Amino acid sequence: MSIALAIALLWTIPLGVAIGSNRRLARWLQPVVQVVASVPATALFPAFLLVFLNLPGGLNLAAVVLMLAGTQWYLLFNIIAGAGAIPQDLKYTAALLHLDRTARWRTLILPAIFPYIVTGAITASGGAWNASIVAEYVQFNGRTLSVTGIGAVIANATAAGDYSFLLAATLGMILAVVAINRLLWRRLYLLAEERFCME
Amino acid sequence: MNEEYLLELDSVGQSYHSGQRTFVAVQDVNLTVQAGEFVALLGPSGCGKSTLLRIVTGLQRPTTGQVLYRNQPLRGVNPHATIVFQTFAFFPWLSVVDNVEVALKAGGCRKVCVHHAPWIFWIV
Repeated sequence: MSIALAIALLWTIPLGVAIGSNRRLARWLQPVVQVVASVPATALFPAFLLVFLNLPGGLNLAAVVLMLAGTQWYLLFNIIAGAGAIPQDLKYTAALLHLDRTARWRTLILPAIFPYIVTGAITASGGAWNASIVAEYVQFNGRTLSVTGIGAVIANATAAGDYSFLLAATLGMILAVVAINRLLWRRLYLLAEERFCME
Repeated sequence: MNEEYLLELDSVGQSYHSGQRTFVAVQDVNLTVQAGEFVALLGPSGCGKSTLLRIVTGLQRPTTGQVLYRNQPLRGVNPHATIVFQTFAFFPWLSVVDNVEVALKAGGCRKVCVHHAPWIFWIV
């Protein structure tokens, strides 16, 4: 899941900033992105499977791709909004100071979009937990494939009708989600609010 | 005639287009500023002061006319000019000292002088 999130960040930050800070690019890319994003990730999953199942670590790879497909859009839309909200005066100041590309990203763009990245990542990781149940356990051509993971455990228990096991696994996932929200996202969120807000 | 002006605006104009409509912000501005001169532009809001300021510093290319800095046509942002914006435009996530350091570093100031920034603030 963190791999999927990292890959998503890697491409959504540059593209999101490009769209958010360039009105002409936004005019023709924004509709394209919205249409592509509206395709449900789970609908594409069988297609991913056909491609990835024959590769080594196929289902793991397919699971990462599914989570990526379902989550990247939250990040992209938030980053577009964040880049669009950078005050013009700050952009002018960066230009007047002749900040080079590295300095501009470090002092202006990344801090300015940080709160938006956190919001997007929180939403995205929620979707990724959801996707993991579908992605980690697959019945395909009469074969059952699964990887090690809480999503696979839940899907497996559901398929077997083992309700006590399903309850335990679901509680386990809830605990994990709550713990990660408290320990990771909440801290990042507070940091975003205290340090990186535009006031 | 060959006198060097610090700044020269030659029939500068700026218009904005939005669909079919055109809005003329400034039109046919001719202005010369000599070194050491103090110039103030006065006018009601929306009359084009900020537009002119952006054109003078090179943040914006005028739609017509040209800007000369020391008799040379201005290309890109003028490294010898700056604007203090109404909003001040500090980077809100940086401390006062860090904001100053960003500007010092960008101005080509080496490490040694950047380290003086906190010391100077202590004096102030």
